[in-house]
Amino acid sequence: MLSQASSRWGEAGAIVCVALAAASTGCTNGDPDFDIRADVARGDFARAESKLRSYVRDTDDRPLEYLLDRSRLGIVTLADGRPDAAEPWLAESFATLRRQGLNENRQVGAAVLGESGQLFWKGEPFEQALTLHYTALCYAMLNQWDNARAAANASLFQLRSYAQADQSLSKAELAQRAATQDEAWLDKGYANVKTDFALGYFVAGVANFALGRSDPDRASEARDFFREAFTLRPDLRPVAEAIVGGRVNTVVFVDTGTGPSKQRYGDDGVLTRFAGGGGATTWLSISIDNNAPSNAALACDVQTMANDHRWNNLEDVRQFKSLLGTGLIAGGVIVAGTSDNRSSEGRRNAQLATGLAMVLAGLAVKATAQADIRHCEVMPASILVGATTIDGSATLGIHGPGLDMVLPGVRGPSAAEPLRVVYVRVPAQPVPAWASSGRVVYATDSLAVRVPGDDLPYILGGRCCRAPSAETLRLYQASGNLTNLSLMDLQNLYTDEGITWRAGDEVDGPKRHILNGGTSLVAPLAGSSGFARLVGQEHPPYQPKSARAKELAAFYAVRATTMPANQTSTITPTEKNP
Amino acid sequence: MMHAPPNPVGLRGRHALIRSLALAAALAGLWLLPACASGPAHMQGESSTIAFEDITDTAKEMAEKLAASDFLKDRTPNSPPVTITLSKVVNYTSDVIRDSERWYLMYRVLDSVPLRELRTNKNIKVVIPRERLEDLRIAAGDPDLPPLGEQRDPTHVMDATFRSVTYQAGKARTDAYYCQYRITDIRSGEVAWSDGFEFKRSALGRLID
Repeated sequence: MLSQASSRWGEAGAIVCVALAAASTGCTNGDPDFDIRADVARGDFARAESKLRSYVRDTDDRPLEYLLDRSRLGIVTLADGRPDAAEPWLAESFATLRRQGLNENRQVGAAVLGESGQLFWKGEPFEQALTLHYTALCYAMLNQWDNARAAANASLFQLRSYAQADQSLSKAELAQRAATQDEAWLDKGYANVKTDFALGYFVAGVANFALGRSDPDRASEARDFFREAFTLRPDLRPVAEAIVGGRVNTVVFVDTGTGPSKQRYGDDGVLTRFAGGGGATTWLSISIDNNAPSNAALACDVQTMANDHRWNNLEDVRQFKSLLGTGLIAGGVIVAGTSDNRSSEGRRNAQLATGLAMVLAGLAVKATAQADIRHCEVMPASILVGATTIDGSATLGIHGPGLDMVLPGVRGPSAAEPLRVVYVRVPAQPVPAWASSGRVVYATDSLAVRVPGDDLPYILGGRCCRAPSAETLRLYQASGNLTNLSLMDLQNLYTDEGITWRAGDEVDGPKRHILNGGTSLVAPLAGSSGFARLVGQEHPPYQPKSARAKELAAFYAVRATTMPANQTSTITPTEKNP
Repeated sequence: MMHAPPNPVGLRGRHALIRSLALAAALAGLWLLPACASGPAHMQGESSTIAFEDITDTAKEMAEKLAASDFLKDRTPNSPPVTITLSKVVNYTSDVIRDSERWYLMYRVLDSVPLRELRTNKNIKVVIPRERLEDLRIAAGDPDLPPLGEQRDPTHVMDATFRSVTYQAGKARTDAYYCQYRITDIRSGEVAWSDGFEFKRSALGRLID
């Protein structure tokens, strides 16, 4: 009898051990990164990018977040205004999203022990579609319209609908319905339906229109995609018609607000929902050089998308059903409860032990089986689209409720380009001064305007962050600066400081700009939020490292105090060319 | 020597304990397996996208076809001079094809015949693509250099177009790819050479994981 009891206790102990082990260990990569979310909301994309780069470097420690880290890094780098630097990450994201069965054979473990430590993060369908949208946007900005077309087409995948025709069904409603259905319902109770991703149709239309200049089939395809887009969102019609009619040459994509975050809910935190975003915008207008504004239309409402069951993979609902099926909690209570006084003491002990073990195991499993809340924290709340004409370079204004953003140096298409795509991520309100002033405090290669103080490199106390070139050196020397330096001397000065000036020279990928405390002179595209943040506000003076740079910086600092003060106000391109 | 009688109850107890531990080990193993196997996690699954070997196979196949083509075969050192430039692959597939791969697909085909042989035995010159001139200017980093490529004067352009068709049923997806190369006389618009290469790729697995 004693042996029977001890074997029961042994069995119970084993169950508890496994369950507690499961509860106490496991992957800790599942927590959303709210620092990155806050950086993006502030418009400090460079800071977010820096952290995300460290995640990507740690791929061996974060294999299940391979796609999450790359898609976030690509999206943030694109928002910073550097499509060339974003492209490798978004290309990898695209390739990964095209893989099927990434989590084949992992669902069993995930159902019992939680998704975040078990499942490769592929994102909810709406996150996948948006990642593909940013991939398309990136290629459009790089003038690779065929790749933009491929990525936009990929975002138009079919969705699974559990709703009756013409009825909407939220994810929360679906979870309730699933609880009353049998196990097979989730796998068989849906119909594949055409996507309602108007933004994807619109971008596919833009890409095909750009390709249509040399291929009539693509022009025809463009009209079809635009029609799909404005059938879903009628406000897009005037924008699409202006593009097709050739009345505009620049398409402006504006992201506003912070997308919803994935949160657990329900007694056991097994189910998830997207909530808590903010700053969504339903209308905006855009203006060029303070001329009459034109309307931008809402193309994507991320919160609405995230709430729609068709845009969710429903893994949490599947897990919820699976846990209901295990009966660990209920079963344990029943076993323990039936060990009444009429049983012999040994049997009663054995039943109690097994019952308690099942309860503990159930609790432990519940602890680890909490739903996966990994998500792409850098998504916006809404995406709007406008179109305008820019000849050469202009100042772009974005206006909306409580919003006036001014972006100098936005370039229209060259003669060889069919269209230009401009992408702006609006920082959270109140919009900071750098986003609304239109100031240009530092000179860079991204915008060909003169700035007071740009006759001396920033690393020597000036305001010039242009690459060291013969032209730049001539500009310095015309003001009597660095007159005894050759171009090679100037380049060596930067090299000694560990500063690079060409994108291709940056070993291990792009570096932070020197104005952000980094080691690169490669600036974001003029007209992007990243560019406005970089050059539209004062940054701390550079601290030289090499003896030569220190010597020169000290010399010019002394000279500045003995010479009449220079003009210190800044200019905008508009002021330069009234 | 006295042997202790077997104790069935004790044995059962021990067996039960072993069974319990085995169950525990099995469950623990199930739990740990994905973590152990998670190193190459991003490699799991299948894809019907163009793979690197498809790029190299296509370039190799087309190089062989060009080398054996009438366009090259019939030419002699006394044939009218031809100057060929390249245009990067136009991608009408469902996949992203990165710039480096697109240029590889063009250069690899033309490089199959040594440039010197082309020049001396076939009277064919190869000049840099227009899109690459800007890259050269940036790489030179000196605005005082004379404009690059002014004397290119290409007579022919070699281009290529990749297309694909997708078939999807349940968890199965197949993409059929076709790549067509052309050499076109710029002045007359006449297609001097054209050939193609096709292949398929399939994948099985849930699309939305």
